[in-house]
Amino acid sequence: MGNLRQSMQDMILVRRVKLGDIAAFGELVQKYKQRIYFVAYRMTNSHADADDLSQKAFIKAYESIDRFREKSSFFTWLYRIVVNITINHLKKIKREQVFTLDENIVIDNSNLNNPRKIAENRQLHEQITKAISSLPLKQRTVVELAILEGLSHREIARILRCPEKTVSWRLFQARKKLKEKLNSYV
Amino acid sequence: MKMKCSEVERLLSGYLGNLQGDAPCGVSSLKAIHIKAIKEHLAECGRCSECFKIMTKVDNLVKLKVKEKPSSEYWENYWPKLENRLIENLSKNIRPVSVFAPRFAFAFNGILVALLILLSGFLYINTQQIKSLQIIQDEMQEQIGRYLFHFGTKATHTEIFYRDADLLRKNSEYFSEITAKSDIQMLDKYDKINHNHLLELSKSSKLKKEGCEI
Repeated sequence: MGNLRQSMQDMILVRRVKLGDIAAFGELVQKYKQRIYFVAYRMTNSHADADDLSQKAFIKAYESIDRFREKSSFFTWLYRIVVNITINHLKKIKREQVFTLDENIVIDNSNLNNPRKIAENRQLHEQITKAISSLPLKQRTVVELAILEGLSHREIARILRCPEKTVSWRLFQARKKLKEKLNSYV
Repeated sequence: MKMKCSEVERLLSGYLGNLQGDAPCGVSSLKAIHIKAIKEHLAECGRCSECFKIMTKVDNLVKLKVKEKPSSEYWENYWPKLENRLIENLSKNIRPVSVFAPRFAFAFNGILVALLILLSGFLYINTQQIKSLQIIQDEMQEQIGRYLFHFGTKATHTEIFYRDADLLRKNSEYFSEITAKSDIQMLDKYDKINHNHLLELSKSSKLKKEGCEI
């Protein structure tokens, strides 16, 4: 019910944007900026790239809003844009994966008082980042969307335009590989 | 419904997602009957339940990544920065409407097709005119041939008539742009001139002496 209400609110905002209301687009940005940013960030492991790619995704969404036929939710459509932009970016640069955490990123250490534990926490984060980064791009995308974003397999299938079974299979394979990489923590 | 280990392994990803709130709207790739069967299988099979536990641990580890976040200042400046970029982009994109813009493409293609049809029609009519002109030329040459046959085949006269025939052909080319109807009228005219010319020639030449008649 909540989702339906959100979806309706989004559609109202989308129609206002189509009429040229930039403030309505601002409301959509405020609503989804964090999720869109994190999709790009988790795939690139770079704050600068995530910042640029997420903004590019919003700009593309604004410019092509007239082509959004409202068959899927605005959120799914926006996700598709950011995922495609990020995948294209990664294919283009083909650079080595960044394993260290970006300095601009703050790790939540609120529960940890001991400096040793904070250092361990950072190391764990680095290990996880490294393990996810080592996955093939298709598996990594599914991990980001399913485990970290909590999207349903059906939604991921819509975003990536592939069958649901493919999503499940990629996720299964990714979990197996992550288990091997993070063996000492599992 | 009993399930094999291989089947459970295949469906485990969907099952995990289902447990983790994968289907907030009740939309799931797994049917209720499958979920029940997996649950039963996990309760009985040690190997699969171990696999399930490991997968859950992996997911929990991966979720730790969620805690990474940029500073609150970054989020405050996000929209103002994006808005500036948007406005900048919009002003860049304002340019004269191109004839190749989608809305003009249809009209442009229509005009192109109409022009092609007109051109092909014009070429067809022209080809027909050229053909009719060639027929006329052939007829003229045949007529001259007939005259030659009547007047005999003395070399001197033959040369004269061939020269006349050549002149006629050249003249008919000059009239290539006029219609087939006027071409025929013109041919009649040329026929008469040619006939008179031949008469004069036959009167003044030795042909008469030889007793040939037109």
